[in-house]
Amino acid sequence: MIKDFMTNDHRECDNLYAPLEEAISKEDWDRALELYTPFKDAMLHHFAMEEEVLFPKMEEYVGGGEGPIYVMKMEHSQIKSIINSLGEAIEAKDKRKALGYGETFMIMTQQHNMKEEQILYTMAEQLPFDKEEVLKEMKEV
Amino acid sequence: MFKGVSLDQAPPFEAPLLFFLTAPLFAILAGAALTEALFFQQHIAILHLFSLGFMLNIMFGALLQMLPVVIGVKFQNPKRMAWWVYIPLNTGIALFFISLYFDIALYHPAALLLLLSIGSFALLTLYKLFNAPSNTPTLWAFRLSLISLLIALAMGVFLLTTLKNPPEIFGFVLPMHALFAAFGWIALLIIGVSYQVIPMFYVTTEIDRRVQYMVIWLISGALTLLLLALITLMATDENIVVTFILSATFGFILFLLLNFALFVYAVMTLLRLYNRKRSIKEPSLGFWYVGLFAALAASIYPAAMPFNHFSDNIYAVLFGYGFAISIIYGMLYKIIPFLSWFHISSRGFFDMPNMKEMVDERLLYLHLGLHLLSFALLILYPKAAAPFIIAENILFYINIKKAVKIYFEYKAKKSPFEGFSRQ
Ligand SMILES: [Fe+2]
Ligand SMILES: [Fe+2]
Repeated sequence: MIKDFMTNDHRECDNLYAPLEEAISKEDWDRALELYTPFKDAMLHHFAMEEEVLFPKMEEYVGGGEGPIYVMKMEHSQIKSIINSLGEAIEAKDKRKALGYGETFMIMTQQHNMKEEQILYTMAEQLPFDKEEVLKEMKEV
Repeated sequence: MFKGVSLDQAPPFEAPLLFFLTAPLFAILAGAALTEALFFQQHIAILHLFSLGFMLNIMFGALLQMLPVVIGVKFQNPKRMAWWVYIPLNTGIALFFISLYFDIALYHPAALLLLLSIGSFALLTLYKLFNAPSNTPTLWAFRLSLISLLIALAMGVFLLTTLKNPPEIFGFVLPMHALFAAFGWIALLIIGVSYQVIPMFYVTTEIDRRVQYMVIWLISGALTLLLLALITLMATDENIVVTFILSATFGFILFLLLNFALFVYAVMTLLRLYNRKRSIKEPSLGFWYVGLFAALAASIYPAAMPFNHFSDNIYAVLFGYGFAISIIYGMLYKIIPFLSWFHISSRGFFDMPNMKEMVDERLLYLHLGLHLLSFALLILYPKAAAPFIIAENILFYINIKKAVKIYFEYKAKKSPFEGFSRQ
């Protein structure tokens, strides 16, 4: 349930990125700027759902520290910093840089999502908390 | 239940890199050996420079890297483990090549080293794969791939150690060894990787899960039947000529079945790539296309050729050089710059070049061109391919040099947030 919902949200973010990259490669900068904001918002919203609701809930059972959840948060901040660099490159109309950060964003995010989908969300599904409740809270973020 | 689960990019870059940087050396050696090769045994030696020297080294490096990411298990001491596998494996491959190519009796030490290194790594990895927290087609493809690798290994050891005094069954084991290695080990591994990676990296829809599983089970099923046939053959004591004709017919039908699975996989994946949402064109995508079209060609070839015109060599080139090796290059050109960037970024740096700045895209396209050329020549006139095989692998080193150099440059620097770093 949580796994399906969050996996779906990953795909939706991908779908927002694809046309943005296309606009960059065509050097259609107005369109790129237009697409950048909803893409960035969707990513930040996804991270917020995880960091504000799902992860704290999971930490009640598996503990915090330097474990997997800590690593996921670290990667969020890495991804955020690439998204910002991408935004700067779009504003500077630098196609090469923008596509480079785009590619880096994509691979970084996909391997991050892979870890969550294969491991972390599976883990969440098996922990003894109310999934409906957590899902509801996440949707409210 | 989740004890020992780690989502850290556990292995330091050096562990997979060791294998990634060794593999092309064997391809270069293969190119050089090709110019002088005359006999069947020498062609087999060269074939194994590609399969063991190139592909297996890449697989070991990639698994060391991927297992923590995909299934969240990590190896205790990846750097030490890498060396422990690396030395016997590569000594084994070198001895194997020398013994077959120059006909020097080093078969037994070669077999022993390969058995120990491949066997122990595959068993350990299998154990971890069967303990993975979730089940996906990819995971099944990996498990079955490693089981096939173990079977191909056992058969290979048998073939190598009886080469000079072959028993009757030798001729049956030989093609079976090839099929287990090609379809079981290599194809299942690539199929498993692509199920996972294509939808994510190129933003495509997923192939229907039932079709994904069908391809995997069709391949494993056909191979299992072949194995059962071999065992029956060993147990019964019929007229050898009759059994030979029977098993050749039976084997050919199963071979067509294996190719049908490859065909379905290649068509489905090509359609996904063609309809991908990420429209950008880049060299890796080119390598994927070449690989998948070669797989398609290989899968059609046996059915399209009249029986007596079928050439083992052409099939092996289509499958090995066209399908497997093309896709491997495509993947490496993504993995190496990414890992370099990732490891630097994880230590808190922000000022390093991004992935695309670490490679020169035009030179990657040049590699793609050279690769196509050597691929085509291997089919038409193999000896002429030699210089291009050597050139493309030297170019590969040139192409990844910057990414590797940047990694080591940053490694020598002090992390901007020492103490927070998760080294
Ligand atoms: Fe996340
Ligand atoms: Fe996520």
